[in-house]
Amino acid sequence: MANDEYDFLFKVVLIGDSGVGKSNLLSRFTRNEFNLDSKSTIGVEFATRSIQVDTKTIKAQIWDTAGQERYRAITSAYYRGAVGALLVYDISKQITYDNVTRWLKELRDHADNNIVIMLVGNKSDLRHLRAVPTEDSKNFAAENHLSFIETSALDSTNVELAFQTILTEIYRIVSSKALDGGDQHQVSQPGSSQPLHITPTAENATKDGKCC
Amino acid sequence: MLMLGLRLEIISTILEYLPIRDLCSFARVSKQLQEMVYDDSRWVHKLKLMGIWNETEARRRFEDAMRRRRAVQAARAAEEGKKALENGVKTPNVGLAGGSPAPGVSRSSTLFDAGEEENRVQVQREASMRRAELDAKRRTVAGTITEGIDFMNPAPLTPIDIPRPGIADPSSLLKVLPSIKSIRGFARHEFGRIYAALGPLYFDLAKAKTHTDPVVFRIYRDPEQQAQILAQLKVFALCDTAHGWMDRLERLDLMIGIFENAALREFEGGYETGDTDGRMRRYANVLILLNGGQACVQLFVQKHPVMFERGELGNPMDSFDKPMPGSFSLEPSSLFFTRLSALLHEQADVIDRVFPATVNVMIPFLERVAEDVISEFVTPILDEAHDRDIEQYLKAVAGIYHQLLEFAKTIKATNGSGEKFPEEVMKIMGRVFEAHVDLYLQDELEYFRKKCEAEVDSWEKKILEEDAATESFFMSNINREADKRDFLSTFKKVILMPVSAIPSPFSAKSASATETKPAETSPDASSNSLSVQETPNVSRPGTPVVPGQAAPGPPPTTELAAKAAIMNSRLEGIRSLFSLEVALNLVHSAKSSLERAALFASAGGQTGEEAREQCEQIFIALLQVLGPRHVKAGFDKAVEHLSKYNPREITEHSQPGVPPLVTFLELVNVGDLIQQMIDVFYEQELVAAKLTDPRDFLNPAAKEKKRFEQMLDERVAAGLNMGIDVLIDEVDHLFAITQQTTDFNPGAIGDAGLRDFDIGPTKTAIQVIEVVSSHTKLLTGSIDKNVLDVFNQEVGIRLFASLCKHIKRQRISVDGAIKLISDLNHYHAYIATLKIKPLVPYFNALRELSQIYLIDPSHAKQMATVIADPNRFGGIFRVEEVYEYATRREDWYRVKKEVERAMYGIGCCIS
Repeated sequence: MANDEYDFLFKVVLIGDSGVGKSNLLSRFTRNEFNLDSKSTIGVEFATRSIQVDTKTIKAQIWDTAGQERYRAITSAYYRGAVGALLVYDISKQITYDNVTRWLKELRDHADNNIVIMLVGNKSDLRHLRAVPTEDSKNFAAENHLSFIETSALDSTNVELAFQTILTEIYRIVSSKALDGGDQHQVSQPGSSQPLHITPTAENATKDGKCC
Repeated sequence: MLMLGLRLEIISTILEYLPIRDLCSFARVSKQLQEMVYDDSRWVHKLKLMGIWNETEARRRFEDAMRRRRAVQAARAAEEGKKALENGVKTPNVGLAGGSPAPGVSRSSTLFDAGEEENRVQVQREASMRRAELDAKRRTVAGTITEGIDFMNPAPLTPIDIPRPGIADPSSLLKVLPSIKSIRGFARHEFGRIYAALGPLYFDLAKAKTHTDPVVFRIYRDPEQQAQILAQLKVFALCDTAHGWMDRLERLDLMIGIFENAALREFEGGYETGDTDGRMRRYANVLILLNGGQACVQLFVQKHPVMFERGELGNPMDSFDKPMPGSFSLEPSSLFFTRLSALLHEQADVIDRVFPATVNVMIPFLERVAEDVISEFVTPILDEAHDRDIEQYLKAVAGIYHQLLEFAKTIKATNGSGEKFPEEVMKIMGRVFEAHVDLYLQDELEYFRKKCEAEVDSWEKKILEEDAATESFFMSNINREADKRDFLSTFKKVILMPVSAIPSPFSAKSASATETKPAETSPDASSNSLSVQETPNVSRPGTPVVPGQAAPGPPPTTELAAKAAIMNSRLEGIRSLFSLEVALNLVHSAKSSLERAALFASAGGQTGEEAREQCEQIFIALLQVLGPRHVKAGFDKAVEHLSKYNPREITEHSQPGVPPLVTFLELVNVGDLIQQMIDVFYEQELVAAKLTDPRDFLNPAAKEKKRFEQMLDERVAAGLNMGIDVLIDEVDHLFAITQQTTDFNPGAIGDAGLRDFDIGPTKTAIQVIEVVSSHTKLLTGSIDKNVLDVFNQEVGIRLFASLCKHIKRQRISVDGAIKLISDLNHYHAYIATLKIKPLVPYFNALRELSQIYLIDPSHAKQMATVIADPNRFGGIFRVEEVYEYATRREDWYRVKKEVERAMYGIGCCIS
């Protein structure tokens, strides 16, 4: 199982409204599969895939979460230790785009402050049904310091690129932070191995626990 | 008037025994007696005695006459009425003595006739005078005839108003009987005609001393005419009830006998000299005219040379030991039938030439041939064969019977054979075998049963001798459904081509060669490998079209055998339980037996019915041997193995399967295959051949077939039940021995550095799924979809229960939750492939449940809401249950307080 060597292990979460295509993005990326009549995810699913950045092997541990999960206690568990997040919306459904703000807030609340976020407009194959103009999203991403990409899990446009991009970005940050050598951050990521270093802003975890 | 003292009935009875001449005299005594004599029913009675009175014709004529008469009657009503009254007064006794209404009725009509008769008699008298003159003239021509006619003359009351052509012309006399009409009220006249024509000849004949005396032979010189008139006289004699009739009849018979003998001698002479168209033909005709010609037909049949020269047609013993000692050949009998057929063909010609079309000679002739020639030939063969070897006997019976039927078809009908000739011929030929059929059918069934038992026995012995240790052999999982369909379609093909595949008794091959055929073909063809590429879900009736096999394959027998061999090698694992090959051999011998017996079923009638029943019996015997003896025993053994299986005793768990369960499931496959084979066999051999009625649910064959299927289903069900237990036992065992504590609680060991961090299901989960799915997959396509679904559902539910138990035994940390979730996702994915709806909520609930282990201890309070959310688990888990699962958290004692406080609302303090 663990026989494949890797230099970095990053936890990345897939979030977004229910039905935007998170599970299919994941299956396209990890198994190159697409399932037209997939059911909504229950709880969480995991998948891993390793990619090469520079000379390093980066193993991505991707958590595919249920879009409809209501309990903060559980969603915060998803974000725990995540270094990257793909915030997915459906370009043919305005509401999923509108909710992006809500998801962003949740990320800010629960996830690590330094988490790398990428806005992903999925289902780009549904051109004729497009409800969210690419420009709007681009602008929104720029405003919020997010990277942005439009993908299609169905015809696999940009799927690879999206993951590549975010993983590379994380790697850059992590490798630059690693130079600081500050390992004071309480790593909450399960099984975090030594290569993973994210600049700590530990306040979030403790803050959550206190609120009544 | 003295006579009137007697009762009228007595007089009437006396009258019946008076000769015609005396009747005439009697009628002259008085009006009343005349009436009695003239009574129409008396004469009708006489005509009836001769069998020439046609009641329906009479009734029709009477109705016509009544209609006409009523019109006339109305005109004469007054006059006639007076006369009738007068008569009534004059004969008071009649009224008194009219005991029965019938005489009364007839009297009234007679009364009326009597009145008319008066007038007519006058006319007649004149006519008879004239005729007497004519007769006198003729007397010079034919001396004694007139004597007879003179008898008639003194009786002027005899109705002779109809011209009597018979006397005028001797040749028209020959047709007097057929010309008689049945008219009520005129019976006396008709009788008179007959009497006038035949009476004189009859009495003359009765008086004759020698055969040269009678006038008959002098008037008619032609033997045909003589025969005709003698035949008529014979009929006429029937109405002779007067004193001395016996003597007269005897004399008549004597004369006829003499005549017949003379004619027969002529016929025989013609036969011997081969004068077919001359004497034979002529005298055959004479004899037929005389009395239907049975005598000459008999003679013809009896004297026929074929009866005496049957040795030349063939020696029954030639059938034996000819190619080699101990063997039996059908060729001599075939030769025999060919010769006989040629001979009969010739005879049909002769018969056509000799006999007219009115006489059916061929049938009696054939009866005789069948009895004397064919039976004499066939019986020794069959007896000998029976003594030598039952199997030879069975083949001989069927073979010869078939030859006989073929032979019957070649027989040419003659002109006189009638339309039903072919059926009658078949009946006659059937009779030849009647004596043998019962014995044969019985032997056939017994032989078949014995052969089946022997086959199964020898197989069982072989298995006992062999080491049964290799019993569990896990089958390679290659597309078994396609294999089975392929095998079955080949089987069907073989069934459909009976003659080439199974030794037919009529292929002229020697029996010993054909006999070994099914046995030797089965093993030899294993080299014939085939590649099956058919997709399992396409249901296609034909053989799968495989590129390499597009060309017409090898002959079906070997193809089938090849596939059987392949199936067998695949089914290695169950060979100690039961064997497909044995089943195939049984079906083979059933088919050959059936085919033989079915020949007789086509004979129709009682024999056919019996044969049909026997065919069903053979089928039943097949099922009984195959079912209870072979298949059931195998299943029972397999189930027994299953029940004894204990996963804890087996140290080696490397195989992804429970060996006895795998064996059993393979058995289900083969059982299903055999059942389908039987089904095809039943459809093709019994239903298509019309040997049984599939709609008749009381039919023993159908019933037995159902019983067989039921038996199979029961065994499968029992085994599956056991199988689920065993499977879940194995799963529990796997949980117990392979699940590590660190799987779900990586921190337990304490060395975080060594933690093998990789998400994905644990070894245990992978192994469990492998075990379960390998077994459920085995069943796909071999049992009914519904049964399979029930089985899978049961497996799913039991797996769920095991999982729940298993989780409750674990300690799960927040980090370990990821593993647990992975495991549960793995189970869920497997369950999803089963496509059984009712199972999904259970495994969904498990996935939801697994989330509670993911919750950070700092969120204990919200954990309480999650636990208490009943909707979340779709009703599968109650709150208490979820709570119980929550207690399996590794940090439970740290969060317990908070959770409980949130759940039960105990206190509220801000920490």
